[in-house]
Amino acid sequence: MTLVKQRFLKISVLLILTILVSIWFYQLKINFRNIAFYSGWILFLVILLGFLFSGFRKLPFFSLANVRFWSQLHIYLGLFAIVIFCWHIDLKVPKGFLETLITLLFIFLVITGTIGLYIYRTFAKRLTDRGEEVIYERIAEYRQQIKNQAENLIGEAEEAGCSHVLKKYYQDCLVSFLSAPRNFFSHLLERGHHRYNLLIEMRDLNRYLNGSEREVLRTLIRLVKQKDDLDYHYSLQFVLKNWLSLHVPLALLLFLFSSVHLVLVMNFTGA
Amino acid sequence: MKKWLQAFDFQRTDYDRITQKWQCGNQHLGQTCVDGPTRKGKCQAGPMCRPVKLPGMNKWVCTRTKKAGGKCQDGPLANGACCLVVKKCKPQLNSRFKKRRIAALVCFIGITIISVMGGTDYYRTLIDPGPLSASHSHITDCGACHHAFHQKGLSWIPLAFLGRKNSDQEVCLTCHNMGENPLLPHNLSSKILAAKTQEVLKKSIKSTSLTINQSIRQTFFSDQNKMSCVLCHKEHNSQRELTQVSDVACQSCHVNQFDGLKNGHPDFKQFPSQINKTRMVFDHVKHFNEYYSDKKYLQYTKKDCLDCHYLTSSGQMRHLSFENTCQGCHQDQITGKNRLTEKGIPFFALPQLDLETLKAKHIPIGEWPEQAESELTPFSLFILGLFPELKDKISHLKEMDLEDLSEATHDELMVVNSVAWGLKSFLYDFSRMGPKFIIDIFAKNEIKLDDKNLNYVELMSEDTLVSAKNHWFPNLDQEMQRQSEQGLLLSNKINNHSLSQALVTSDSVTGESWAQLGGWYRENYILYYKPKYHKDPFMVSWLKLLGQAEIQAKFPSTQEIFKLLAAKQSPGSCTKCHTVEKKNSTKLIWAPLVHDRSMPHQALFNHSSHLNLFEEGCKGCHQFNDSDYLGSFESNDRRKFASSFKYLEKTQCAQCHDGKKVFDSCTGCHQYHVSYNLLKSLNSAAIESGIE
Repeated sequence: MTLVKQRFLKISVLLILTILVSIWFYQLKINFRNIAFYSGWILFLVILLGFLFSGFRKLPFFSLANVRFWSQLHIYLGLFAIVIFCWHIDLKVPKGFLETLITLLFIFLVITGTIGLYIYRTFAKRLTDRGEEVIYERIAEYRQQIKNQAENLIGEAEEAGCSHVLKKYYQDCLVSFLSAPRNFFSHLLERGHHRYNLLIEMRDLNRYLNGSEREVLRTLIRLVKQKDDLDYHYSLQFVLKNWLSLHVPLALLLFLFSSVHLVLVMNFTGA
Repeated sequence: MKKWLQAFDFQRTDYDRITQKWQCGNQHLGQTCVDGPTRKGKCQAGPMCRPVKLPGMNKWVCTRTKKAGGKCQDGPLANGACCLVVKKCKPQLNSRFKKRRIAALVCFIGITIISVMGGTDYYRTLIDPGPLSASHSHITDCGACHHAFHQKGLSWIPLAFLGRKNSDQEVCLTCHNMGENPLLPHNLSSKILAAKTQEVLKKSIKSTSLTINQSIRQTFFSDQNKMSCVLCHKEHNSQRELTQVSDVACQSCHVNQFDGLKNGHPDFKQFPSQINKTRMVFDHVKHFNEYYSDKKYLQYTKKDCLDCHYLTSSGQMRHLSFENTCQGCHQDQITGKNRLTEKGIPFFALPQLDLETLKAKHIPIGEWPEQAESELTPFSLFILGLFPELKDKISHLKEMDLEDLSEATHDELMVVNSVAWGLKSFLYDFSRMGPKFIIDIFAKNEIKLDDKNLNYVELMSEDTLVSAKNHWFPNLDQEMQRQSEQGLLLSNKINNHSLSQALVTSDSVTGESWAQLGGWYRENYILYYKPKYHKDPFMVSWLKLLGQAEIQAKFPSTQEIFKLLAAKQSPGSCTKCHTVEKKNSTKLIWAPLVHDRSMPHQALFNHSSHLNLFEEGCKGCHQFNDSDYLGSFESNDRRKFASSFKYLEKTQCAQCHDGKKVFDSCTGCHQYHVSYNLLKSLNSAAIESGIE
């Protein structure tokens, strides 16, 4: 079965389930049943299942399914949870402190989850398309390497008697560029205007340089491109590796406060 | 040719240790050591390589990686130790473990928030789901409605899941008294609900959605269809949401289901008039078309509906009082000003007796006026019936012809004798003791009297009574004296002296002419009462008393008095406007119907928002109907009624109430709690206890 067919099947199942649940909730509503009670329990179980996903996939034993299955289940459970949540709050703004907190946590969780789904789908391809794929943990080292190479180049040029133009330009503009990750959001949003501007600026220096200096400049340009590619990788991989630092704590907090909410509701709801 | 940044052979790359907790702090410089940090994060920086001795060689060889620079110039020391030392670093936590720490910190913060808020006075902020509606804003103790509230802390956890009975469902009933069936639909009994459902089911066609709804309801409604208050009324929301109920919810139970007023709502039947006839007799059509045009009553003519009706602040229509509306034309009818027949009600009369036979048979009735020609009045029969010794005799009297006692038996004659002396005693005692005598008789017969209306002998003047007594029985005092001395009825000759017409005040009007303003008067041998004005106390008192079911059951003879007072042609003309109702008892209806929320099956209608919709005002909805309105009052059956107004059509309301221009929700017009007035049901003591 192709990927498209698989996805179509899963979305169809989700839609059918959503419709069935919505019909059920609607019937409950018009029969004066407390939808919040049923939807709350379903929501709690869905969140719990989604939570356990990270545990299930790590289990080396008792393997019910592969990681891909659990990932897919997590995603579709999340989408299902959105529908259940809408029924649960009846599309009204909550008024209590705890309820508002839980709603905000859920919303942010959905947002981070959606972003995570998007970046998983797109960033890997973008990284492959960009060029050399570097290991994230080595990026700092390679950045330092590039900087060292550039510095050595300028040093050699100076010793060879080249003019101060390159050195001045290097000190004014390139040192800060080569020292640390740059243009984080531009790389995330796939904007290349900073690279274009910098290269144009560097190429404009040609008029002030002689033959050997231009060679140095060409090498510098290559190093700048390499550094920019490295920054690109750094930006995307940073997000790829760290977005869970938002998603998981939010999920933990949501689970915690939902548990408190559950106890309170079971004690205080009249019907 | 492109120069790649990274290499993957072991000679030119470091060991990254991404699965380990700590990483070398010099990794970013590319100068990691061979051993890496310990598990506790301590730098183990030492020699740069581990020299080896190749087999067959005596010399130690440097094993520094190409990445680190390859073999060093100096080579290892003679003892095999490396000559170079790696610079110490500050180990860094692996990013995976950093994330775990962040997650743990977040959990800790969350638990801290809950613990701090839960353990301090801020716990109410934590658990409060929102402000109460305005109606309940005075309740400051959460425990007043939520029983679990007073058991705080961790005890809520087991309480949530173990042994919890939904007692909070019925806590609303502590303050709101909703009658005998508070948790049943519409607060009506199961029998009524079942009967009404059957009634409607016979007429309607079952729909698929109805079947589905019913089956779901049967699945989930297990406790005899009880509906707690919280199913519809959600607190901790706005005031509107507390009372708002969706139309779909109403549709789930009702057999007839529809989308709105225009689409599917049943047509109106006899709306707005109630199914039974009006409580007051007022022919609107005749009044507007005929009477108000009469020049005689020009000054009292009403031109507009609001001349007699007024709007309350809640938008309900009420009637102005009699004094402001009807009095101008009808006061004379009450007083009988132009009445040709008797203007007074015969209260007490001396019956005509066959004195010759009584004399011949030596029945000692004593003095009795020969001119007395009338019959005993219903009032007389009733009052005499209150005396135990006369009660049975009164019933015998009805079978006798008092005017011809020639064939009466001795016992019957003695009955006549007893009744005659009873009448005399009544006159004698009444004249001595006054109206209190009547009150005492009632009290002795356990007749409960209305303290505000003790006008059963309204304003009877002493003179009226005494002069009646003296005129009818000039020697009554002596006779009664003798009776009391001898203790027995005497069988001596009847003293038949002719009764003079004394006590007639000459040169003055007497009798009916004298009582122009109403009240008591004497004419012939009858004491009359003439109603004075609307709400005449005498009339009201007697009609109210006689309308009681207990009185009618205990004293059946009172029906005759009721008929006398309530006859169409009776002085006072009470029933010209006030209808007679026969339900548990036969009684007069005093006031027109006041539509309030305690009446069942009421559709709510706010007049104030509708008054200015039509150019013709009230007549835009209330159009005259040419019907036999008055004829429908010939019968006392309230179901037989021909309204003066045409019934409203559903389409009139649906013109605006289509859900787009104006609402057409169920609860916009209909009320759920049909049996009880919510405000009147409030238990003030219970409300007070909810306030800290």
